[in-house]
Amino acid sequence: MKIRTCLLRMIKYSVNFSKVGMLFSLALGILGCSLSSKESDVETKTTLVIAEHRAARLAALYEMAPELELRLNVKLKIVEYPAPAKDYFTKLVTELRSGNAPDVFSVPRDLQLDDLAAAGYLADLSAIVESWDGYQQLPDLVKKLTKGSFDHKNYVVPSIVAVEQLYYRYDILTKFGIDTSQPKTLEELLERASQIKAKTGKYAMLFPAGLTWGMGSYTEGFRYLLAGHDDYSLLTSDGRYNLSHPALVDSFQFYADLVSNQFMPVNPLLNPEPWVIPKYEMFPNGDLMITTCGTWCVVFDWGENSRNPIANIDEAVATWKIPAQNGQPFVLASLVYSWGVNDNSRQKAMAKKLAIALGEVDVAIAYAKRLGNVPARMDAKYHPEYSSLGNATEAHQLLPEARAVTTTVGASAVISGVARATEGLLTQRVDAKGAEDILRNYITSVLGEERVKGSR
Amino acid sequence: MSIASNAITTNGTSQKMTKSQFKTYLTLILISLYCMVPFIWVVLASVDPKASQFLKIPESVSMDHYWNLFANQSGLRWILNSIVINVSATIIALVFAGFGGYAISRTKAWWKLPLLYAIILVRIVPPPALIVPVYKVMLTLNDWVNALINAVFTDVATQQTMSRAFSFVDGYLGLILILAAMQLPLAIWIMKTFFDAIPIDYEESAAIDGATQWQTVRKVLIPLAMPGFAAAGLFAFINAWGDFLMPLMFTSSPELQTLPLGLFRAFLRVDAIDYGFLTALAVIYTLPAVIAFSFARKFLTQTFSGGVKG
Amino acid sequence: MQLTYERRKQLTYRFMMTPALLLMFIFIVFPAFYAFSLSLTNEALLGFAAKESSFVGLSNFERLFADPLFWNSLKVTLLFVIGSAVIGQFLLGFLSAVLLLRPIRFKAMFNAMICLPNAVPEMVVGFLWISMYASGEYGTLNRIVAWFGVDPQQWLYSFPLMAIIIVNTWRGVAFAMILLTSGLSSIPKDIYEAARVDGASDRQIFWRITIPMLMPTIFLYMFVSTVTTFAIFGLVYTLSRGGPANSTEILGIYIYNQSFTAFQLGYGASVAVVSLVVSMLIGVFYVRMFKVEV
Repeated sequence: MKIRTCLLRMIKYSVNFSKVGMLFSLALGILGCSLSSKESDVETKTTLVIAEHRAARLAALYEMAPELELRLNVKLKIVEYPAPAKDYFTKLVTELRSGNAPDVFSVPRDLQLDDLAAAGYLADLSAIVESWDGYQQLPDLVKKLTKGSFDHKNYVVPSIVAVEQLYYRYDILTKFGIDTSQPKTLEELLERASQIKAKTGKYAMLFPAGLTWGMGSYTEGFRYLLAGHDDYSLLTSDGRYNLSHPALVDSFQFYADLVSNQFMPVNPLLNPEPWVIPKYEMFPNGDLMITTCGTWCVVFDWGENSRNPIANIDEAVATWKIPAQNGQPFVLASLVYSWGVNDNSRQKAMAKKLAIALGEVDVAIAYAKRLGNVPARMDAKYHPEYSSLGNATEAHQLLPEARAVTTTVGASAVISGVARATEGLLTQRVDAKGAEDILRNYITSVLGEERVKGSR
Repeated sequence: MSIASNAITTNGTSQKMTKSQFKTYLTLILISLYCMVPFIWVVLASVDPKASQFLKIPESVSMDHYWNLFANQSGLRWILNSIVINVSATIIALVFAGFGGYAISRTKAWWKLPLLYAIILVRIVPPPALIVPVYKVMLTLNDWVNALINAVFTDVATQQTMSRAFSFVDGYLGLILILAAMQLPLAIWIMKTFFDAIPIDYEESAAIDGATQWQTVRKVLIPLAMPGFAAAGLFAFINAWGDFLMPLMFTSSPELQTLPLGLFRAFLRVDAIDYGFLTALAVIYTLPAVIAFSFARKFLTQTFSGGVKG
Repeated sequence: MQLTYERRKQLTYRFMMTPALLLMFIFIVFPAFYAFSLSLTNEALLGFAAKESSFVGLSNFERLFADPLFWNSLKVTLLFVIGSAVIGQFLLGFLSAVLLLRPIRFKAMFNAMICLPNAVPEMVVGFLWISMYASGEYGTLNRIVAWFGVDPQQWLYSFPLMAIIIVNTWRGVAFAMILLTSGLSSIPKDIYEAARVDGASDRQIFWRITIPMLMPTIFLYMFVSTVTTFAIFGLVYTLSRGGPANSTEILGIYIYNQSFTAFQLGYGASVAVVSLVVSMLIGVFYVRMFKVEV
């Protein structure tokens, strides 16, 4: 008791008001000085602010920054953004809205491009991109993905592409004498799954689904199935969402089959961090045979330095293309982290040049090798460091024949809608038709009836 | 059930520890443990050169993490930003609440009662409910301020500095004003209660003695209301200092980062968390709040219990 | 024009009131009303609506009341408020208040220890408890339960709502204790003496005297803690961000997620309207029921 009163009194006397005032003005002073000194060493060179996040991406940018500064004769100010993709995007969007966003930034996925462009945040890069020699090196699919679906202007400079297909345990399947030839249709794939279940007694296949997986339920699951219907486009010719098509029910039915036949581990998907158990534990341990994934998986998810490495991965894991309705399997491509320019940038012309410079092959390879993706440009194969991409080069060569699913403004509603609908399928609360209803009702309630074809 | 009555009648103070006394101590020790255990990690980790997310006894003790705070640019900047923003907000809240509390205590106008009820209601508006509209308001104010700055200053560097200081979004002014506004309802309430306790005769007799209005305020009112200012200031400071939502909404530049957000964002860098640095910073961040709270404690009941009539 | 002394004084009062009112108006009152008008639009941070929003009538509310995630959020908020403010903080605070009024040693020390959590900023609370709840056998809580033979748990995943309730209880025991201590000590001692002389038992004294006499304080406590718990954001955001699987998505977090991760400001505003209406109802109820002395 005594000590406490004594202490309190001491603090009371020593921290009297004038001292607080002094401390405060001192802090103000230091801050003022640092603020003004920061702004006063303005050089004659233009300073461009570029947003980047995640250690691997930052490392790539820091590696390339001196070269870029030299090429463009500018000064780059790299600002580190919060790491999880969701936080990065929230911060970026709120800054774009309030007008204090960086000059150049990356758009995490192609399906976010329309929403950003429609809001007026992205500078129109059509002129500079189309006259850029790198543009001719892009596969047609990638060219299409750089454009706003509603006005066909180029809004981003592509850098790297995610190529996705099915990864399966070649070692285990051959051991049990299961056919490892490419399944051509979803029916064949289901047939294969039932063989796997019968012979190994393990789970056959994972297609991400449900609320907790969030965006991945669409991008790493449902999208694969949609892309398999080559007569179906999520978009109508007038840019609305087409939600009255058998492809949707068919795709949901595939999930329903996986669940009802117990081909897929359902419980982990209902838990938080649903990817951890199936992808990082069951697949490496041989308790799950097939999963959807991209080129990065063999490096980061199951490679030597991953949490739970698969020994001798090159022999243990192989890929199938994604089976399609027309019997012609395909690989799935999406544009990730392509470069956009802030429409409100004070140095827009220079910022556009920077975006183009970021689309060059050496920068793309610096990123691709750290992230396990492939470069967007086909001429990347002539670059001396191309081989550092490892197995991903095979996927890179498949780019020209890849498929993608195009979305338009309001893609986030599709993503949430798919998450909700597949959650219903996982818990077996609804059938495929019911899941389609959930999807359509959700998208309609978010976007309004005029944006949706097939709403009642 | 007998605990409560025992407490008040204070019987049974024998030398030997009775069963009931034992239970009392045991319960208190358990509650205290519950309250104290979470702190052990942060304190130990902050002096452990090999700090991690897990609680462990440090093999060696060093104050390096604390010294690093001042060597590390961002740590020092977060501290300074927090001090500048929160002290400014507290001062503004105090001055405005001083005037407001005095006026509302002394006036006999028709608006007195409605205003007091209104302030209670304003106090209980949940801040998360305001984030969307406040964000829109701040955006509008921000556009105005920046248009003004760009009109007045032609030099780009000056524009940038001014904009950093006076912007409503991602600037000092906006954050200071909104933090001050959030503390006002409680501060006005506290000041009003303290002014109520100062008889108006004091002021009148001072006036009769020939003191000017300003002299009355300085020599009579402020000294008498000092405990009120202390209470209002301490609560305003504690609340503003601990606020997480407003910095989350309205700061984004690294230069403007304050302690709560800086700590949170550094913690999100899952691949590279420097636990020693963060725990040391968390200790530094907590200290002012704890000190302020230890002074404010005795006002806590006065502040809240004044509100009910039995 | 000559002003009378009294009139001039009234004008001065209004003038003195102005800055505070202005600030509260701009940042609290106006936004609160603005939330209502925003909730009738499709205002957004992305898409065409970010450029130009339009009036959509009550469709946000239609969507809201049909959204299972909203009802989930409301339920989680209710459980959070009841679990931490009404039950956890109150019981522990009451117990501490009662025990600390007994003639015991180390009173100041116990007092200080119980008060400490209350002074800690929200962000640090999250930080401390993430370490407490850390999974694996080295997590602090896991080591504690290991003494009782319990296997390591993933606390924030297996018992998310309970976990945040425990944290908020931890933080609020002091407030309940301080308030209830003052309530308990203001009960006149002679009432107890009189009751005891009349032969009342401890139990009777507790239920017939202590509790009724303490009622005003309990109501005040319930009001303040309900309202503040209802408004919590940072504590849950730093700990679990509403997850896993929306199991800790209290209303504040739901509003934030809808507005700033789904970028639907209009819809977010409609949730805000619900939350404003609920807290205003609590406020008006309190002011009217308990005749707040102003």
